[in-house]
Amino acid sequence: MSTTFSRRNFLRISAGAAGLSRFGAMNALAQGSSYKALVCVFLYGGNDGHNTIVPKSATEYNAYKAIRGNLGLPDQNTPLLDVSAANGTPYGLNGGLLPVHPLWASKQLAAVANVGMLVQPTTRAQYLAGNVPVPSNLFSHSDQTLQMQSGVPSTGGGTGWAGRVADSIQTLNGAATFPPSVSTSGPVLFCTGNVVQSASLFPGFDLTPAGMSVWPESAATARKQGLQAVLTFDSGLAMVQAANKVRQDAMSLNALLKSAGTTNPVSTPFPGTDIGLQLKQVAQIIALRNQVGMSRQVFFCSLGGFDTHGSQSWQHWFLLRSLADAMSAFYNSTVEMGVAGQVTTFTESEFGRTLQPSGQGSDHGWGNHLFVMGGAVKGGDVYGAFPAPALGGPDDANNRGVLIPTTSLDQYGATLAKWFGLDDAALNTVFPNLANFGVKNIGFMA
Amino acid sequence: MQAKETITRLVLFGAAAAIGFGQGTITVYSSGSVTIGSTRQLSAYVPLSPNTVVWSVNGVNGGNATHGTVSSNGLYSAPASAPADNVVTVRATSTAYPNISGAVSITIVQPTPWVWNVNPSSFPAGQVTITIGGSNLRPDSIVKVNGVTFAPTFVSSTSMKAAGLATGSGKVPVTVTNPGNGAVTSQPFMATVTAPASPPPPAISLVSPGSIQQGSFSLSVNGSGFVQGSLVLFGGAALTTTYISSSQLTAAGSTNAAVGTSIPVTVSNPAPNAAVSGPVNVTIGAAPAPNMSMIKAGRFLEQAAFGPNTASMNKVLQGGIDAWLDEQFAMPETVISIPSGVSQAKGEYLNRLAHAPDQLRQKAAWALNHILVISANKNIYPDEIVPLYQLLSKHAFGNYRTLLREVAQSSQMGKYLDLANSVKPSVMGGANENFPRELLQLFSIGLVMLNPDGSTKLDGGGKPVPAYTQNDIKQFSLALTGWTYPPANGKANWENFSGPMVPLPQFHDTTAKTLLNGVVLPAGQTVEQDMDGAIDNVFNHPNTGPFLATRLVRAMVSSNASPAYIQRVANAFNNDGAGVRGDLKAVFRAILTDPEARQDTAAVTQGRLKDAIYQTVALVRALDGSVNANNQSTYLFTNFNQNILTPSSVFGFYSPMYKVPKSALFGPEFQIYSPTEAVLRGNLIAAILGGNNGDFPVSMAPYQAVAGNVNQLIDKVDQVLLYGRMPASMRNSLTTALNAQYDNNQRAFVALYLTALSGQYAVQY
Repeated sequence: MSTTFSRRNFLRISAGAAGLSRFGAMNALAQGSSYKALVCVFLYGGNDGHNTIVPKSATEYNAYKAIRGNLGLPDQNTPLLDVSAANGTPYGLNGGLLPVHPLWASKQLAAVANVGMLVQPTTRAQYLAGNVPVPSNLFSHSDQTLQMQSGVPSTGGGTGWAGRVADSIQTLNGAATFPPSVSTSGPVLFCTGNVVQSASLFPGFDLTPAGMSVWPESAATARKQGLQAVLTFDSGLAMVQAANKVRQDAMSLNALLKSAGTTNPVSTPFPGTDIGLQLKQVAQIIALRNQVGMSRQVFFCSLGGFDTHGSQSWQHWFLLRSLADAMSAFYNSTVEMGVAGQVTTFTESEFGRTLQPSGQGSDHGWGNHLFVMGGAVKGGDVYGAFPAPALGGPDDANNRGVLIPTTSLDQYGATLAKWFGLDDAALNTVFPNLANFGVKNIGFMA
Repeated sequence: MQAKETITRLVLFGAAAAIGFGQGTITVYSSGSVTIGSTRQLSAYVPLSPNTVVWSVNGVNGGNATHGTVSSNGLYSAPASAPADNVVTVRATSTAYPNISGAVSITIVQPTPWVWNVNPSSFPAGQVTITIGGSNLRPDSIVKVNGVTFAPTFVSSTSMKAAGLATGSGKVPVTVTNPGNGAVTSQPFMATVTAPASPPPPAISLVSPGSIQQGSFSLSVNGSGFVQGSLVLFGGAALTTTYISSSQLTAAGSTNAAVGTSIPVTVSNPAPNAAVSGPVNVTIGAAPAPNMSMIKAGRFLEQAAFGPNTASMNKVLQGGIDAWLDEQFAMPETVISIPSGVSQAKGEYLNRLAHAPDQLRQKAAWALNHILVISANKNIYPDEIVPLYQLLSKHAFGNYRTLLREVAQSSQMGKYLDLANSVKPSVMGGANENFPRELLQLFSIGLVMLNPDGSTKLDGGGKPVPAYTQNDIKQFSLALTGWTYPPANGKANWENFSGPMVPLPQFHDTTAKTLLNGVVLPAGQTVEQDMDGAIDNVFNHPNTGPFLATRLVRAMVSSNASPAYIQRVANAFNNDGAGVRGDLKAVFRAILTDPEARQDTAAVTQGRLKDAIYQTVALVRALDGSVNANNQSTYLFTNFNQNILTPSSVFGFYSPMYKVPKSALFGPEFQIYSPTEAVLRGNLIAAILGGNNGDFPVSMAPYQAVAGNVNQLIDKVDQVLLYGRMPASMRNSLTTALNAQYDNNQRAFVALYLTALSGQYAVQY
């Protein structure tokens, strides 16, 4: 049902800031406080949650320190930053999280403990007996990455849960044609829906087509006009029209992205790291939300290097510091844009790690502690069930401190998706196994 | 001395004046002009005694440098430059009788210029440059033609040029003036001013094309006498005209004139020299019948190969489709070697798709690879991945049962889907379900029950019927236990890809398994027997024909094939005509020879979007270029969302069920064709066409060679990329764009590039 698009309209909207009107469908919901965005920051490699948030009650801390040995914090690279849960239980955040530390006290940052892929609630006894279904290929990077992105505990599914979320709330975006599901780190399953496409917008690439700049200027103009004419001709062939529409959208996006720096600049400074540039790109796109008429957007950013089988101490601190710098800047940019309470950032990683170290690092685990940040987060607390550090304890899948999750990704994602605007029916479609879990809403969103 | 000379001069000049002793007058000879820096000898008749005189200039004895000097014997020397008061009095005063004197006036003047000749000496009114030959010409000489000052260019004292506007008619004076005090103008040279030439009227030598169709058109008009503001008239009506040069105009317009009529084309020049050329006729022709044989061959090779190149296009044009198919089915298989690294494997893969002569086998294996998927994101070494591609190639024209069985037992798939070392249930865990699940879901029967035409079977309540349950998966998992990496040596092996997996009976579950459709594998079977049974079970399932048919047709021909087409292909799978089920040669022949595939006049929903790998390879083939086996550009395909040999999951690069955005139509390839991918793919095309990517060298020479004639260039691009199907309005848009480019190289690039970016080229239809 692509609309016929007159050449005149297309030429008009391709010019700079005027490029916005192609996406600016009449959408009353896009105005004001109805906008929401979910931003996933995926930590590739398997972030060591055990050293990201450390229990500081005496018994727990001593157990932690004893098991972790040389990996235990604080150490020569990494201090612990004091925080406490709402009930006063003390924890320490990895010193690398210094830039977001203040958000805990101001209640925009929270931790969700022991989250991971599950088919259904699973105890240690059940897991060891093998008599309940568990996610396939639990300790495999590729399989768990796909599962944490697809939200399906088998290496199945060609869509991501954020893509399915975007599918569900398409109506809230009206007729706007700006991609609702955007990755800043290349094409990714997470953003792919059954209907919505994942759009990857590489930071710094504004979709400028090559081969359009030439001397003399009249020749360059003729090329651009020739391309527009070629793309807007109605061939009467559906697949041809659809292909042309994609390239037309690209030309409009190009105009939009080129003008973004001037029409709606985001003045909050971002670190020049890869993750900093990604989150800056997300902020810049959020800044355009009214002009493109978007009411709901999901974003995917990523940072790699977390597979700390060795040299964990400094590397982990450094990665978390890079992450926190960027997340802090991003939070500030949402404040600048007046949407702090409408943008929720959350982390994922394919799995946690063993509590018991291996040499200077740790091995693949399962359950992990994740973080959520945003004005709508009921921050300053630890949600879920924080496991007591132990080897072979009731939360251990073996005897190396591999956490069996006590909160499933389904519940974590459903909490975010509910805040985002999905109703229960949609939540069950997006998270097919959600029905297996009693608590559908962990409660960390206001 | 003095007296004697005086007497002499008196005799010479003869003039006399009254003389009286003590009275009388002195007569001085004579007044006149003296050029600056020259002299004039004066004489005085002095009838007095004594007759000595003293000479003065302007009352100054002897004169001075300003007004000139005079010697004691009357030689006047003009000053070097003329004073403002350039008329001086030179007087001879009697020394004896000071009240008696005689004087003359001397006018101090500039040197006299002469104009001996003017070249040209006859010229039309208007701007002219003349060359003056003369003398006493100076850098500051002023040239006038008929009183109009011309701009001089001094050459020498005997030559100068002057340029200016000649006015008047007939004889006009040409003068040169040496300016300053005492300026002197030359005698005039009479030149002739003729009437100005009229510009030639416009004339047409060629109108191209000479035949146009109804609708919008562009014309190129060659001739002479065109000016800015000339208009091309089409049957007297002015067209939008662009002035290229005095010998070329282009114009655009549209017409509804009847087919067969001739319309005169003229050029009209504007005032002040308004004129209309003679006419050249353009005929209205019927829209040309598309060259159906070229369309037929091109479309076929897009489906059966990785697009045509010149050789294969000619082969099909000459020999026909059936002969090409027969030859391809019989052709020996291109050997696939296992390189040292995955990066090399990617380059060799692309090179093979582009250049292997057994194109049909490559295409068939590629289509099967949409179903039987493996990825280098888990199988990270070449021996973990390339052998699976060897299997796809080897069995592309064989039997699907054989292919499936060998894939199932391959160590490569054993790693990818974890069948290797899947063991019967124990305290260590259960049988691995990954491969068994995908065997059913992706490699044979799919999630839901299908009708023979590929449509989903619905139960009484209108809901799809699942094809299998989790329990079925468990049963298949048990059946498929007991394989390990080679060699066995009685123990479970870690990864080894030197050959297929080998049985390890002690890890095999030997219970009875209930599979689908009531098939029971009895207890106590061997590892191989149970796998045979499992593979047979899915192979024989009625779903498998339509399941595979749907996917293969979507990969090769069209995303929205009719159910009837799918059913015909499924039928060929079910029975190849000789009673054999699973004959892939029959399946591919059915796909490619089906009337719906051979439907060459495009239907509205026909075709499929080209994926990045196919489109890049096909473009290079179309231009008779090459794909480097040591390819350093394969990384680009990651950004296109189609990382070669590395789909993100066992679901492949795109789901066969993905729909065109906001449409009911299937468009699997659109799942990896968002605006970013479209631009990135276009930028690779620009790099290839611009000669900026050494991994995909193509020659632009054949296009540059015809780029001097825009229509010819567009024709060639149309034939090579679109098989002659370029719409007239695209042709017009390209014409306008090409006419604005600087040279033939730019035109060739733009013609190919804009066409390659169009939806007409993005889609295989």
